Amino acid sequence: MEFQPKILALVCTYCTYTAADMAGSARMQYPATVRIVKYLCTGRIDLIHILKAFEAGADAVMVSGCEAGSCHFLEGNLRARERVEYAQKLLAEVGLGGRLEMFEVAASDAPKWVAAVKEMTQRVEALGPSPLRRGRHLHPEVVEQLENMVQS
Amino acid sequence: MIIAERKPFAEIKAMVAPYKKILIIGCGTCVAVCLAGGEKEVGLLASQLKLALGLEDKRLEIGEITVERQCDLEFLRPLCDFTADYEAIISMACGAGVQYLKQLCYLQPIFPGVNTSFIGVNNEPGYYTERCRACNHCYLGLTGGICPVTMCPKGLLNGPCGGTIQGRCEADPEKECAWSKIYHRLELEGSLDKMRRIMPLHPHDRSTTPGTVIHPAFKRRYGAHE
Amino acid sequence: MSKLQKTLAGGAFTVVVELKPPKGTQVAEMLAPVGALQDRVAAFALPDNEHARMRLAPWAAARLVKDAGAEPLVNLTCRDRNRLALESDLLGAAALGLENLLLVSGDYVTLGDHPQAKPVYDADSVQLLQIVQGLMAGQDSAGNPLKGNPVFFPGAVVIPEADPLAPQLLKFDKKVAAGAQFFVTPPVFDLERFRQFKEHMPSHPVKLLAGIKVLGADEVAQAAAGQWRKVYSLPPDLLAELSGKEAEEVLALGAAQAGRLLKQIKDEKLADGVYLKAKGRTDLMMRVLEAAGLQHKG
Repeated sequence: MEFQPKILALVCTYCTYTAADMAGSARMQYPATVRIVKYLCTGRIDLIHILKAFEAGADAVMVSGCEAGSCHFLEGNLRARERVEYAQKLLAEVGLGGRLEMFEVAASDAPKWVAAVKEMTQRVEALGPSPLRRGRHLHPEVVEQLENMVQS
Repeated sequence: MIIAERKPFAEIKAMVAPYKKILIIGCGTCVAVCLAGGEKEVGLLASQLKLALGLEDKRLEIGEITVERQCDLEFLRPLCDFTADYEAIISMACGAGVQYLKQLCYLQPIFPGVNTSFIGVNNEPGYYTERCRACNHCYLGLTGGICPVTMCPKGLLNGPCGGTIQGRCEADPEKECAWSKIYHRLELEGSLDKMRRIMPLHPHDRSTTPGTVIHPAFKRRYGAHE
Repeated sequence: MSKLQKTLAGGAFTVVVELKPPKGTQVAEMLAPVGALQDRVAAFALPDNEHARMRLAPWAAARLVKDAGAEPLVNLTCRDRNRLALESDLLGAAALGLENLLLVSGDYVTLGDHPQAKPVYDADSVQLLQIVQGLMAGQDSAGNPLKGNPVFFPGAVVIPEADPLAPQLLKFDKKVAAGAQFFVTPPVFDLERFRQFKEHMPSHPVKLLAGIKVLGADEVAQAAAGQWRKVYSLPPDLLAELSGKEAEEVLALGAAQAGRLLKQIKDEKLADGVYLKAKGRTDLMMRVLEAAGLQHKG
């Protein structure tokens, strides 16, 4: 079976989510590799959310928030970037380097969202499936768990 | 408070390599504040271990629990029964907590998950600096509230060494010279005379390890002599 | 009273030359300047693990200098010894007939060649001066009596270009109060700053030896690259003169310049003498002394 990457996108509702929505309504084409979890702000994304996604077998995680200076909560996106960088270190330590990236996509910038997904998909195709997948698809419970955590 | 840093992942991974079922015990006080060994860090370490061993196709069962303080029996005792099911324990507490925990749970091996750094302050989230060496002979009243034992790498008691450059420390130019600051503070206080006095040799016997303190009100209870 | 003390007390311009104890046991090179220069200089100084780099013990080296017929000046740092070791080394030095002492805190261990060593600093330089006073008066730092009191001529260091200067001057006062009878400065290159320091220096009946140093090519390169981190400054015109030259040429020019400085300090009576650092090399020391017009002792 051909490798179909499973990427979890943890995105901000104010910017990236809107951009992704716009990309959809404009019928822009991009790989069906991402599963989106909407956050009120990327500042809410916890390190453990990212690690749990990999435990559940995600091939990659992308975090996408507002451009610097335009966070609805002023600096949530900056905090998210610090955390993503730290999570990258934690993942590199365990041998999962290169599978986590942070993006900035403004609400009006649907093409940038499309480009980000394409970029991440290509990267994962090059890296191959996460060894933790073991033939499974991304564990659906995790997405639910994350959504519950975010809404709680 | 006590400041610690989590040990490098590779070191922790090697420690627990022989085991199939381990318990990670966090400490909810100092090391939680300095983001080294609290509940959150227990979760991150457990997740990292699961990921790393998963990549090697190995199985490791990990229990996670965090107590308020590992340096206090009141919080440790309830752990005893709980720990019996595990082959090994990682304690994320400072050195005191690890030792106290092992005193109770002496049947399994215990491994430290952090390196205990120093007694210090929380400058800002994620940024901690040392303030006290616990020398058991406090000079702060004489030195403008800056500890010469801790803040001067040489622990000099009678003024700056000859290595101060533009108010910076000889041992680390990133840091200010403690004695330059002490002078400045005492000058502001109008009490430079404190610094003009020659300080006698430091009584190192007061910090002979391991230290013991018995509160005066408890002398009889613990059979200590007056 | 030591010869160095007599020379200084007599008011003659005093030249102390620093030797380089070896890393190892071959002492011939260290002792070479002694034979060549002992009729011209008042004393030979033996640094104590200078820059926190391990070398032969200064009191042993000092005894060798004495055996070669010259006057030694033992340096002792607080960095490597607790009070027991300081005191027993001091008694040992006295038993070997060594009187002149230069007592310093000592450069921090991480700057040297054993960066993982435990830094001791049980005493600081002021307290070490007090320990020396105590031993001379017949008791150790714990108050126990001695059988046979040592005699010393203790000196200390003062930093003319210290920044900030006020705490340094306060410490200078404390060192005098603790019994320092002479002071040595780090190398002086900028006489204007040295003159300014002299104006601020509290007046005490102590002697002052100004540091004189022959710069090496590595030091010049360091300063030219803006990496200079020392408690003394190098004037830009001197740097320009020495930059980009061959190692030996730098030393030769540096020695000539050091000689000129020495002469100026002597002529203007800016200090009671000098403490010369010339890489432990006889030829460089000779050049400095010749350039300064100092052919004979005193």
